[in-house]
Amino acid sequence: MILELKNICKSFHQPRSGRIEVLNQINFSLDAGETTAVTGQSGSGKTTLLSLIAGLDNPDTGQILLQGEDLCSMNEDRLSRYRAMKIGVIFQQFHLMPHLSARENISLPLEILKQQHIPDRVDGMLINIGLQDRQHHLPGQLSGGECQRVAIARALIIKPALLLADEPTGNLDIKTGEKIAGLLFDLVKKENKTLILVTHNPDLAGQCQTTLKLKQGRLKQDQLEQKNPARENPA
Amino acid sequence: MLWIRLGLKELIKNRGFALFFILNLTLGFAGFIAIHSFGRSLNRHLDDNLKNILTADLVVSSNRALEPKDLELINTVLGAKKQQARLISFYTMVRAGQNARLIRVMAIDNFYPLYGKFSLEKSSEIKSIQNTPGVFMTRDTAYVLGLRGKADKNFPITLGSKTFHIADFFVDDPDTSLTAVELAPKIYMGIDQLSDTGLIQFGSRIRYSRYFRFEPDADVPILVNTLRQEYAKAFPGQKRVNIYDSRDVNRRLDRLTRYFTGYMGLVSVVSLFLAGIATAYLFRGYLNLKQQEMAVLMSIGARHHEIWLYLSIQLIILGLIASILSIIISLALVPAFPVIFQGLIPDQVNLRTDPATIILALGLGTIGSMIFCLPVFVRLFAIKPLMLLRGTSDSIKKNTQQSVRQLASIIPGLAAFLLISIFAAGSMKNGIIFVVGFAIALAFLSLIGWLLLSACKRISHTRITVAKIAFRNLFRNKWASLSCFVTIAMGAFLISLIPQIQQGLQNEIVRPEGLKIPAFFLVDIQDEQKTPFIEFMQNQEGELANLSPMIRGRITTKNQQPFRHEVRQSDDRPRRRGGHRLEFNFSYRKDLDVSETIVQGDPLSTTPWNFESKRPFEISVEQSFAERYNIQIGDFLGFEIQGLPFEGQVKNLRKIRWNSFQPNFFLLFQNGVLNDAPKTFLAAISNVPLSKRQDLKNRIVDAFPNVSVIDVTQMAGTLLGITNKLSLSIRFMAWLAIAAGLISIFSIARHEAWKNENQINLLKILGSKFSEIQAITLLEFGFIGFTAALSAILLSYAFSWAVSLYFFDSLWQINLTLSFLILFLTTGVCMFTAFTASRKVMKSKPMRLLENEN
Ligand SMILES: Nc1ncnc2c1ncn2[C@@H]1O[C@H](COP(=O)(O)OP(=O)(O)OP(=O)(O)O)[C@@H](O)[C@H]1O
Ligand SMILES: [Mg+2]
Repeated sequence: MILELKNICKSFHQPRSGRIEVLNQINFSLDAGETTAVTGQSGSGKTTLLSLIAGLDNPDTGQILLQGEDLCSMNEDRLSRYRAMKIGVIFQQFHLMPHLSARENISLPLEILKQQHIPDRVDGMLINIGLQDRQHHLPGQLSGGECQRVAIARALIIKPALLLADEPTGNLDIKTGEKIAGLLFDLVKKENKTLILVTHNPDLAGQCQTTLKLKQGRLKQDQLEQKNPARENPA
Repeated sequence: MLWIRLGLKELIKNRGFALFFILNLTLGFAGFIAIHSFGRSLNRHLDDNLKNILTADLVVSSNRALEPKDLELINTVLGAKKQQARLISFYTMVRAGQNARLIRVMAIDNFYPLYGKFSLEKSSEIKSIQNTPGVFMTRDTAYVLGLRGKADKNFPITLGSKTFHIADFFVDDPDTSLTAVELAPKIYMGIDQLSDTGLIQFGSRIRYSRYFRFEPDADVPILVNTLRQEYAKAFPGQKRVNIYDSRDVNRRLDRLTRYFTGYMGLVSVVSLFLAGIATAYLFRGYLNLKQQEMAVLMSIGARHHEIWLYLSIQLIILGLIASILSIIISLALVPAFPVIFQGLIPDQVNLRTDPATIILALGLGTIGSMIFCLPVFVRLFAIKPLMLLRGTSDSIKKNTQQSVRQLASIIPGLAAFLLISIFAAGSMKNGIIFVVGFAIALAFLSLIGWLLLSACKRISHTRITVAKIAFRNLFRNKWASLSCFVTIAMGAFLISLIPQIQQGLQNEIVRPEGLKIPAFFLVDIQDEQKTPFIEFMQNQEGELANLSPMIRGRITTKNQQPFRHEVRQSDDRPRRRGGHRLEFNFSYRKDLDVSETIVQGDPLSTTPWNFESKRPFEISVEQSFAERYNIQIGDFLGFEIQGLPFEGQVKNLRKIRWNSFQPNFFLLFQNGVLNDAPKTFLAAISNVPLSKRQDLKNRIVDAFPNVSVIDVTQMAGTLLGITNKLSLSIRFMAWLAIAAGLISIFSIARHEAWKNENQINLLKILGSKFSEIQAITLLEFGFIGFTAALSAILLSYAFSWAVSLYFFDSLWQINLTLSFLILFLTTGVCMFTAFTASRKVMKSKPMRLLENEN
């Protein structure tokens, strides 16, 4: 078991509307190499759940265990390093460093974490995402799809135990979105990564082994253990 | 290394920001260094002048010969690194031919004077009067003694029981000092020739003085203080010696230089502060733009201190470039000052930038900008990678811990600012007053801004679309608008404060119009000579003015307590000598002279005082005298005049325009008190053409041999020359500060307008007309600029009133023209900048909007 959430509750305080319960008693676990989609209506708390798993926000109660370590009990600096080593996040808005080239963006996490053999690993990654010939371009000179490929590469380059993606194709047109999704799943499979993917897109969700549906702050119990038929019986 | 590399890259990519940041900082630093070096150089110049007048750094004098134990004490305190000279001086009657005159004898050793040197017609050396009984004097003195016609070496001068000859004549009077008017002409003789004159044994008013000159880096005021304290310790309750330095030579000039240094200090701090707020503002904006990137870096593993390092490096690089540039600029500028502003600066001023100032500038550029931007840095802690998932930066929430941090982060900046202010103002007290004043202004302007922006909500309820959008923008972006408002207002406030204070200082320096500078000063006109003298002057060229009676007497009591010099410990400057002189000159006059004004209390009553009335008479006291002796209105003073006791009560405090060169007195009595007392008269003569002066002087001496004629032309010329130049340079500094301030305001407005780019683009896409968008921008910035400048100017009136009162004790004056100019310029600069920036955005493709999304 790589990830385990125990009794996670999260609510927000708003000066006007008072307390909003977003997540209520969430429990689930993931095995290594598993891919999971999180779906649900807008405002159902998907991003909130993801931010908790990524260690970017703290739950009100409950525990989040990543490879047996409790994220909630770490201090900020330790969490930041731990997160950087273990979790890769892909954002809807890409969030590349605008003044760094594609290549520099990809190598940045390795440099921050003071890793070895950086150029080789970056080269390999560039080949994986098929952007060798555009590696020296700045994000402003790349298309949305290319940017997202760079972002995926940046998330994967540290070989994270867990990969999180919030609507990674939300900012892209359907065709590009499909391509990017294909790339993502390929890489995840190739490197045997654990993936949690937040999406509205049923096709995308369908490609995952598991789907978690959020409704009114709870995971729908009946679907909790249900495996995706598409994956169960490959056509 | 990674962070340095990233930081550098970031700076190169953000050239616009970096350039403006550096420009602002450079300007502020260069202003600071240049003004500072200039002020210090000028100070040094005035200091040297004063030393030349005193002829030494420090003087110890006593009315008895210094004993070995005195010399031992002096030597231990002052150390070995010094030169010294001896002087014995006294008044005596001198017979020369038929005439007998009161003369001041200066018996000097070979080392006198330690600063400056005698310039004699035949360039005789001092040795020549040590070995033979000879004297040096001016030709005027010789004339007074009865020597007419050509120089006569054998003209005998009898001093006591010994006869001297004139060894040489001075080319320049060595005594055109700025000190109090001397009562008698001086003659110089060798100290070795003094012994057999027989004058020493019964001379009761002999002063024995030692003059000392130290290494250039010696801190004379401290030495003076230590010596005084050691004396007080070694001989408690005894007044053995007087110790003084060049600051005592002329209290007025000292006061003036103190004002000037204070003003220069203020201007330089202001220039620095303006640069500081402008750069901090720019940096804040930069950081706001970079928030997302920080969050990205954090999400891929950067820790807070690494982000901090990354930003510090950028800041330090910018600050360093700015300080180096400003040092180069000021190094080039300072020596150019005398060339550029010829006549503005006294020619002899040795302008240089001292290493301390350079080190300070480097320190300011690096550590200073870090400290100043600390409040901005603290906001880093609020940046969370969470915002990357949430899209906007609004997710930055303020909790109490952050607010505390934010507040605490201001403290180092404030402390640094305080230190710089103390350094620049040259005194602890003034430095603290600056800073507290700034803090109050900041708080006040923030409050005003907040109220105004709240009011915008109301104004925005209007039908006019343009006004509606503009005012809604203002109050919706309350914090951004407020910081913009406060920064601009602070800038305008400082800008408008400078000329206000300049006006006060100017008033202090500039001669009142219609006041004639006298050519001569006459002392010792006897009571019975008064009428003949007035008649005599009617037939001469020149105008007799201010014929004032003078009566000597003692102040015996103050409020029934023995009158004594009260040393006030609270004063931050060491007290100067002069406290123990209990004999003073009194006078009375019907109307105050043009050079005098009553600053506190009512005019003296004109009805003559009656001795029989048994009521105290009224007294007018000069302000600085009252300060020195701690005399207040209503105090009772007891006098002894011609052996008779009198009592008076202080009715008013008077301020004397010290550069009027008119006979003025510390104490004026009510009419009727002194009218019958034996007295002499003082007078001034003005309006004498230069060519006729010597002639008139000789004629007066011939007709009234006992009257001393003192030529004040040269001394007035020197002083007025200095003050005119000072006043010019003060005005110049004011304009320099204004220019620097406008540049700060420009860069702030530019940044604000630039931030509006997205909104402008959005409006454009939503179909607003070009003219409408421009009107919105102009209205927004015009409103901020105008209200900020207006409240700043009003606040500066209040401040300058307080500052004039405290620093310059001068009358408060406002310069409406200048205020309007500042109001107009500030509003104009804001509107113009916004206008050009919005035009640029309008011309750019709306594509920018799409690009800005990611
Ligand atoms: N910082 C916050 N303060 C207050 N309420 C918040 C905050 N963050 C999220 N919420 C609320 O929590 C709820 C869940 O938000 P969340 O972003 O997790 O939804 P989501 O499922 O990701 O929606 P979408 O599909 O539209 O992205 C929403 O109702 C939102 O308004
Ligand atoms: Mg979401």
